Amino acid sequence: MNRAPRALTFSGVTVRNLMRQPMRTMLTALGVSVGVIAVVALAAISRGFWDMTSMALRLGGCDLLVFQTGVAADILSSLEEKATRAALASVDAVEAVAGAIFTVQPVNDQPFMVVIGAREDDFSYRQLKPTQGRKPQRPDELMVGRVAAQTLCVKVGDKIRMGRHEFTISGMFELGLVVVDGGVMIDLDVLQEMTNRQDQITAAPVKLKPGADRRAAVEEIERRFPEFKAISEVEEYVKVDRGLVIMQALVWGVSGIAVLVGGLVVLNTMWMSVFERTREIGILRALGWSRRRVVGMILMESALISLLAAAMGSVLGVAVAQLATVMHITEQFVQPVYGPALFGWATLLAVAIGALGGVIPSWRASTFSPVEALRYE
Amino acid sequence: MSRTAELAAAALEAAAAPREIAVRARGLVKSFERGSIVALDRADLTIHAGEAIAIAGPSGCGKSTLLNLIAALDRPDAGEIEVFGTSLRSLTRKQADLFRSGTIGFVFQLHNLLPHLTAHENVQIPMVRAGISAEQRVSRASMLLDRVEMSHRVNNLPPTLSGGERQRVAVARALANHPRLILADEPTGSLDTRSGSQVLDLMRQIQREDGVTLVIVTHDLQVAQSASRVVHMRDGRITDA
Repeated sequence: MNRAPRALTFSGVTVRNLMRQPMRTMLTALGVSVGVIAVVALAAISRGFWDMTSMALRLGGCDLLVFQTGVAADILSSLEEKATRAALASVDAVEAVAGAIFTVQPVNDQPFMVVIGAREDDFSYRQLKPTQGRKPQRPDELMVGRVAAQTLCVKVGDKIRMGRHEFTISGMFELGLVVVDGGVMIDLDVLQEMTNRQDQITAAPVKLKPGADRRAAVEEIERRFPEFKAISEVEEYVKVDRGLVIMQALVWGVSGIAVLVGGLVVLNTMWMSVFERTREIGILRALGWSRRRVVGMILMESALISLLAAAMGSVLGVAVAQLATVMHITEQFVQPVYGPALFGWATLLAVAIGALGGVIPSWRASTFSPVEALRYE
Repeated sequence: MSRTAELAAAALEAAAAPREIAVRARGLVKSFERGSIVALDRADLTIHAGEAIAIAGPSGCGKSTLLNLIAALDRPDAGEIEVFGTSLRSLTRKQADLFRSGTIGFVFQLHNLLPHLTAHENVQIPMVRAGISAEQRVSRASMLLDRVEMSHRVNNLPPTLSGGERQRVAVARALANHPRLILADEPTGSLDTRSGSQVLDLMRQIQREDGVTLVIVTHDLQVAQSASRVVHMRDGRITDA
């Protein structure tokens, strides 16, 4: 028995056109989605770094982080500990000053691991509560973060090796920041000695007095002590580390390449498709379809391919970013963050790709003379 | 006056009344490839509304070119052409699209159905452009396919239909927007004799029942004889209009 015929709509014609060559449509969408995957994964990881940095700035009740002026990366900063503490303590708005070393060291078989050196009596360290065990009490003890413990496959009481030194794990901590939880925490004196940086710190966490204005404190510190760069918000991090900016530039760069390459993929497919359907376009024009409607049909086809690519790229981009969180080499650094803005950006990107790839073939289709198109074999 | 006399007088009056002109072409000239090929050379033709006319002639004599000009698919280099009082030379491209959509029904030699759409959907195609409601599109397409005796094949794709069936669907599609003028370019050219004859009978039946004007272009004199009037073309001119 015949099923009841349904109304044919403009969008229905468009979808049916794409479904005629399902493999070509899927492969084109997949080609476009490669760019979207790269953008989604990179942007999610970049956003994760951004958020992590933002949270790290407030760890342990910290209001500001002070680094050395003119460094390319935060871990390269080097300040004299005693002089820095004294200088910052002289600022009216400052309530407490701490000292810390952030560095990267090989730990066991892990070539890169964040190592944080802190003093037991500093305000930022006092607030840290171990989730297992206790804080180090001897020079050969340290604490590991939850992610680092997973990476190193160690537990409280185990021994780990850092360079030629061996330490016993006295406790474990978890602060919810993968870059910190993926590291180890050690007494500052021990780390200074290990790294030959006596009386040196990379940063000075600063706690301000209640009600003090962060912005004003930053300005005063930098005015009085030109050798310091003070950071109160993540946006200011560029003053001591260009990593975040570089990563964001990378996202823009990859987006641009994705638009260009994806646009060419769509262009190629739609160009071929338009030529294959020259006669059909002639029929539609002979039956009264306007040029604008033919252009709309081709553009809608490329837009649908792009939206399909956006969906595929978003799903696969999340998968790629998540893969980085379980890979041995990156799991301690990567904590991707997804949000509506990210997927909105991915969709916008795909639409731009579709528009770029569809506009020339649709223009070409609109220029077909119906008479010539009807003669086309 | 007796009833018979009344009817006779009415018939005489009707015969004497000026008939509406469907197509009036005067001095049409159309050439291609920078004038090296002259397809129409001062062609003149008048077709009355409700007429079934065949334009016959050998290949390359300008029949299809004339048909394309009547359909506003192309423009003449010189001369005038009017269809139901509308001068086609003055139409913008958009107006020409609207004119075709609302006035002309096309039947091509090679049926020219869209292969990925069902018979029913192919009949709906001209209506998608014409702003007819979805419900009306469905019911009109069903009615038209029923009229061309294709109601049992509504969901079939063109490749699964025979040549004659495809051409019947093409005839149904040509009627979609209630055209006043049906243009058929070699409508039986790709059909066997029996199927071709059935399609011609169908078009003539529709022309008579709906009172539409039918213009058939053919090189086959037997096909041309199915029309009520035959004009011949040679070298871009109508030889006996």
